[in-house]
Amino acid sequence: MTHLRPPANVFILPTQCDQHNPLFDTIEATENFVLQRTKASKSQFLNSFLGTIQNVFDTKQAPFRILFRREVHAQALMIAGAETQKSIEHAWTWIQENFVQGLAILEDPQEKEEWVLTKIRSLVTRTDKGTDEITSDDKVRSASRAFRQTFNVPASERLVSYYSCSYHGKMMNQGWMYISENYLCFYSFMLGIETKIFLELKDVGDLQKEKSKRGVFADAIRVVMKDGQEYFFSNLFHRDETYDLLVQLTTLTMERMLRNTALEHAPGMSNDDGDFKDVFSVDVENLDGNETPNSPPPPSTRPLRLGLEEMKRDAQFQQRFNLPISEHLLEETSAAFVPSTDKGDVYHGRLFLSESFLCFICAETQPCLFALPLFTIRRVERMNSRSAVFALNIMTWHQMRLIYRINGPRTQCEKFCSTLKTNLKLQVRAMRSLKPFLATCFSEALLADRPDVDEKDSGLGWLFEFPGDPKKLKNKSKTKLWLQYLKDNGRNLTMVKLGTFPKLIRVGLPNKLRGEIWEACNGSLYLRAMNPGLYHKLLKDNEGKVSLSLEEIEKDLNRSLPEYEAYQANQGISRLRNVLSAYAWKNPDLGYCQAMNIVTSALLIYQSEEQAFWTLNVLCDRLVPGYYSTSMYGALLDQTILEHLVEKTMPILSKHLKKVDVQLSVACLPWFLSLFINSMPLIYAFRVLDCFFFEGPKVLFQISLGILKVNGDDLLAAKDDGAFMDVLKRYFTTLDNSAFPNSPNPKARALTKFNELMLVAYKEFDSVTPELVAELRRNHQLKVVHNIGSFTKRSALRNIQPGKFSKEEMSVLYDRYYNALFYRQQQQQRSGGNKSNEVRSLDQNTFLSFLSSLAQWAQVEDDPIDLEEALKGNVNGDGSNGGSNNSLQGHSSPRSPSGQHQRRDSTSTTSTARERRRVVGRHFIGRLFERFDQNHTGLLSLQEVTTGLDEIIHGDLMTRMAMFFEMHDLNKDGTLSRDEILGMSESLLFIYRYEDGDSYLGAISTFIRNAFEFAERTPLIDGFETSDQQGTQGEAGGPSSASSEKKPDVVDKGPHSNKASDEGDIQMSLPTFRMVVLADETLEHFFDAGFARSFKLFETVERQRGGLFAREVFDSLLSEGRKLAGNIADGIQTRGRSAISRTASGNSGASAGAGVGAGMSPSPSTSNLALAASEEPIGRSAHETDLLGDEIKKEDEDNTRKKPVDAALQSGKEGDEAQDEDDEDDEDYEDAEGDDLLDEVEKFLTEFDGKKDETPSDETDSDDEGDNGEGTAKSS
Amino acid sequence: MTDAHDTPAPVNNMKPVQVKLVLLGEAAVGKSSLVLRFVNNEFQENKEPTIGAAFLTQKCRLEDKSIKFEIWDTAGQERFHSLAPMYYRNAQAAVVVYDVTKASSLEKAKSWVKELQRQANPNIVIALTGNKVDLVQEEGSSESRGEGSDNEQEQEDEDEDDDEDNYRISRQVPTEEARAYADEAGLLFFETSAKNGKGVAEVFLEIAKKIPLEHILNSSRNGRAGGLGNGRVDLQRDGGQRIGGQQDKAGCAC
Repeated sequence: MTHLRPPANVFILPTQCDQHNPLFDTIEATENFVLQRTKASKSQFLNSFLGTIQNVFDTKQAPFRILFRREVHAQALMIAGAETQKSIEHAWTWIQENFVQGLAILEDPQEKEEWVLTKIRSLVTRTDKGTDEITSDDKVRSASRAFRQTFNVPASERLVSYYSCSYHGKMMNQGWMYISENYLCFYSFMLGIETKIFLELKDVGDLQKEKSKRGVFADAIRVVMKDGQEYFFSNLFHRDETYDLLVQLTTLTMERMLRNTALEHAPGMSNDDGDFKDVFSVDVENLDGNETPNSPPPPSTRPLRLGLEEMKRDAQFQQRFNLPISEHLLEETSAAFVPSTDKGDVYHGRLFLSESFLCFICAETQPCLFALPLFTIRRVERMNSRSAVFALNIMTWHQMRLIYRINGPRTQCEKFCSTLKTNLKLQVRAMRSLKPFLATCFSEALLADRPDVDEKDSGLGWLFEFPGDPKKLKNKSKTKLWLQYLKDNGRNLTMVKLGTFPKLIRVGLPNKLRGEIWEACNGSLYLRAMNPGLYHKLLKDNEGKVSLSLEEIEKDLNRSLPEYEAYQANQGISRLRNVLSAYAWKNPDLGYCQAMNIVTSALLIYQSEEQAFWTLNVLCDRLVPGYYSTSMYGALLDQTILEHLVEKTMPILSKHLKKVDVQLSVACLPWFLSLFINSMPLIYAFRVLDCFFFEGPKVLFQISLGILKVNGDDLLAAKDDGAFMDVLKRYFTTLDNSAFPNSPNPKARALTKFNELMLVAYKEFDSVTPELVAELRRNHQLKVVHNIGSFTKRSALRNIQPGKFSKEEMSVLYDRYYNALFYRQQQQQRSGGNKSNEVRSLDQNTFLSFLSSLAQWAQVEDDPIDLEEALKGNVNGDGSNGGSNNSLQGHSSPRSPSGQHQRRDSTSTTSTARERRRVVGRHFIGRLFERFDQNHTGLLSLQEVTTGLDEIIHGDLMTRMAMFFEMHDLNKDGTLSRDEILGMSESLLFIYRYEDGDSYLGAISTFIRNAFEFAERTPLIDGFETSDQQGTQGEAGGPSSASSEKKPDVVDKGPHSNKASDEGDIQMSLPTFRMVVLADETLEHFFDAGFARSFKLFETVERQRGGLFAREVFDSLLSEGRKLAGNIADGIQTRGRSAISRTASGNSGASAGAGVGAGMSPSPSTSNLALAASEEPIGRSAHETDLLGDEIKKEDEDNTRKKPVDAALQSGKEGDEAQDEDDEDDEDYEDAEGDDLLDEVEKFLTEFDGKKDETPSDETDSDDEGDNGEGTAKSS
Repeated sequence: MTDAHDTPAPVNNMKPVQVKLVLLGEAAVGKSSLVLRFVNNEFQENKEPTIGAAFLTQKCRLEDKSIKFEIWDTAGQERFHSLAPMYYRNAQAAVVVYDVTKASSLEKAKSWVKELQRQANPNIVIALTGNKVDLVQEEGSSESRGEGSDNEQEQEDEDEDDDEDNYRISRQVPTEEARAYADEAGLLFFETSAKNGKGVAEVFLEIAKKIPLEHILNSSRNGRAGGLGNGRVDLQRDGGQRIGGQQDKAGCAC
């Protein structure tokens, strides 16, 4: 019998450990298994002491554990560990049920062990999919478990790393820092004082390396949150590693946030169909996860941290050689490179190998850099001339010979070679496509002395002239120089970039080679070569489609470099349209941004459509990331950096600008966005572009700084931004002029202002390196993104009708709304959601988590059942979503409720009250969702949520009553039927379930009684006829029917079920409902204020922490005596009780729950009695209300026609009895413990069920204990 | 009435009052063209889209005063929106432009007005301007003013017109609808054609009339000189509004 589910988060991968550890006591033992508990848990003093030691030296150790006694080996294996006795006993029971029999059959000890281990492993990998608990590293595993148990994080959250450190609060706390994908947490437990810090990475505003307080050791990190809160951590032994990791994770978070906060959603997405497939193989999205979208994440067998490190290393590697992001670093070795030219130069540096590239960089003074695609290699030979040297002779397709001497041990060299060999073999197909590709390269034509490339492979400059006078530009001699360089050092794909290369670039490129050399410099050449045909496919696939971006592009086509002849003709316009729309289709999230038209139209003068398309890709993805995105964060970021650099390099100017209140960006932003193309005369802008494509974005900074420097004096005279702009505008028109017109030296006179600018830019600002730019971007990005976030927030809030919400309240609503979206998106992504399906409004599940951040009663998602269901072997891990979807939509779609119930019945034979509560809760929230969803889109906008909440919170007694009435009037007939009344009461119970006090229980039972008594009755039609036709009619008629048997029947019959026969007697109208509510003080208060107040905008809603976890943690706090006695007033009381429970359960052994349940519930009999009174007539239907859906409509028809007379009479009678009983019970209620209230709720509901509780008693009891835990947890 | 300089004639002889004016509105409604018409009295069929913002100045005379307009012509595409505060901070006037042939552009204009009224200088003078009326010009009224009661029924009017452009687009924003909105929101209202110059000069003239010039003179003497770095709001803080409040001592909405 395996009805009991294995507990989550208890089993671990089997780990060797010592069975006879002196710190552990054995509680129970069987032939194969041992259940142990730490000695510490018995003595408070010892525990506090040991706790401190454990905390300082190691991560927390579980106080309870289960070992597997191996027969073949002396050392036992630990297979489970838990914080609480309850969960370990759950596991123990499970083991007894599942293993003992199996083990008895097996005889061979080896076989036994194998069987047990396989089973445990599969259990662990199944339940903990995607978490690090399945990592092979013990320590990470236990840290991950400690992290999970200490902090309330979603089950899907993965721990990345953990470090020992101190937190400087009021005092120094030595403890552990846990870093997971979304959170930065700190936990310390020193001498009985617990410190917990829980920070969301998405709210981190700044990270700084610091020296620790005494200023001696550089071992600290300061974390500043966006609200200004600061946290100081020191004693970090791996400070830089920690820092880098945090930077990396916050960057990833930030990227996700940017996608989330953008006002426009995927402007490039087609308007007419939503199923655009991303055909692009090189996908930026894959950067932030090792999982592929369509398959479940493979169980990772190593820490996530390693994955992140690899990702970072690969990114650096790709950046350095401008490689596509599909390339990963496979091998790296130190090597010497001997070029084929016979000058005898040798370059010492490092050789790298990726899937399709062999790269070399020379670290020394002579620069030498290249990335050779493997598909250009024709032959590789080992040279054995001298045995001591391991040398490779590589021949490219055009017979260029490259020789490498690989340094290092022979085995390493061999390994390098074998990887090279493997990868070369994989390139055979790519080699075939090399020839057609080369035909598109002008360099080949030039070298072969062919006249030219095809028209389609050339830029517009071939047809309409190139800008500038070719003579003045010395085009011919430049071409000659390049021809020589290409002959010597390889061309296009095989070009080796030596010391002369940058010089050739800086003097300006020759017209016809320009486009190709741009490509070769920025790496877009590789993309074009490796993705043949993709550009044309994009255009073809999207032919005829329209999108917002396409409209925007169309507007600007005539307005891009209009002075250039080609753009006054169809030819230029259509090329421009093709490239821009192809890019918008490829990257719909970005779409099209003004300025891209200017850049692209400039590119197209020198490049073919396909070349320009790939260059645009590299531009947007790597060179100026985020410049053209919907939030333009990249452009804003670089403006911040420019300002920072001006402050550092030109403090006087910087101060002056501040003084006269001029913002640099008013002038500089267009420079960066259009890469100087419409700021400078075209010929000079192209010179800047030459350098930019080779050296990267640092050039933009250098040139900008240069401009400011050259014009420094004039700018210092400017008193406002108008004058400031004038100075710069005038300067650009004079770039052609001589810089030193009065110099006697003719050479100096020949220098133009542009030459001067280049000189200043490179000489004076050579400190601006790519590394510096990268670092500054990293340092400033968080702030910029948060600013964009707050801007977006402000503009979004401006367009919201706030109802009666104040500004502050709206701000909170906004934050909660987007928080819910933010974390939901990540989950969806992980569970295989397509990135293009990203939601920017709340769906039903997200609404649930949104609501639970506002109101405690809405926290159903963390219910342990849910959690287990989520882990129950659902492949994508989103099983809970699917399940909840069903229940949420339950009443709107007729079929799904039965599905829901089928599932329920099949998954657990014993339908627990808790589970129903969850269903009721989801139904209620689902109805709320529908009420909010005024446009019936299935998604809630912030406006809809605001309006909906406004109605609830700021409505009055009457509106709220009407709202509840309407929400529960499922068939919208203006009256509440019997079922609907019961549904209402279940909803009320659900909302009340965390409430203190017990008055509401009485109130609800009064409500039901009164409702049945005062409700209008419809004329009767004999109902037994129909009942007779039903197989279940016997039970249906009988008041004490066992609904557990009936339920499947209901399901089977689906919409044809006529069981409503005996419920059609009641129809309560709104006025009656009001009367019934107002008759009861508690309910009146609830509708008058209580419900509205349950939404908490400013206090943080205390999470009912994940049920299971919360209870465990709390139990453990109590049982281990971790809290200091005086900490909580009622602490003594609860601890006392829990002590009882512990002894009780200790005795009972098998089921902790049973003992606790007995000890806890002071007057079960009386309370049962009280509720039993009213349960009879209504019990059945109570359980049916949550079947809802399909029955309801049918029922309703039936209701009007037939109705069993005696049922109605009975209900009236029972009502009276109940009244009497209730009066007595009130006293009992008074001395009942608050904690037991939830038990009462359970019972109330279970007995409503009419089941007479045939469920095994231990099952219900264990549930009770659970509730008890929750109850007490709250009171602390 | 093609000469934009008829009324506000250029002046050189006295110290002008500086008025910072910002143009806002959806992309391609003709903001830059309006400015170009006003400043250089010319029209370019294919004007490059504004990246970030363009800066132009124009002096004109109003009665006995000389005014120097410092015009910030902003980019219209939605994603440039977050840059706008940088340009409208401290502005004394704003021209919010829409395209009479495109209903959606009026909606965008309304949202700009809302933003200005909440975030910008509280005393800012806002003019709502429907541009491109040349595209919908109806027979008989082509010689008349760009606004007025006789234009009311014009949108359905599809009479043949011998404009040099053969295509004519139907009007999507009725004059009265826009005027009603402008009145309600307390804005100046104009309809213009940057192409033929109709109504362009009035926009700037009426703005000049409505601006409290003396106030600016005073505040620029006190405010500008004393406006030290601390009041500076940079792009990252995306402010602008705070400055407005500071200089005018009037406080600001947020």
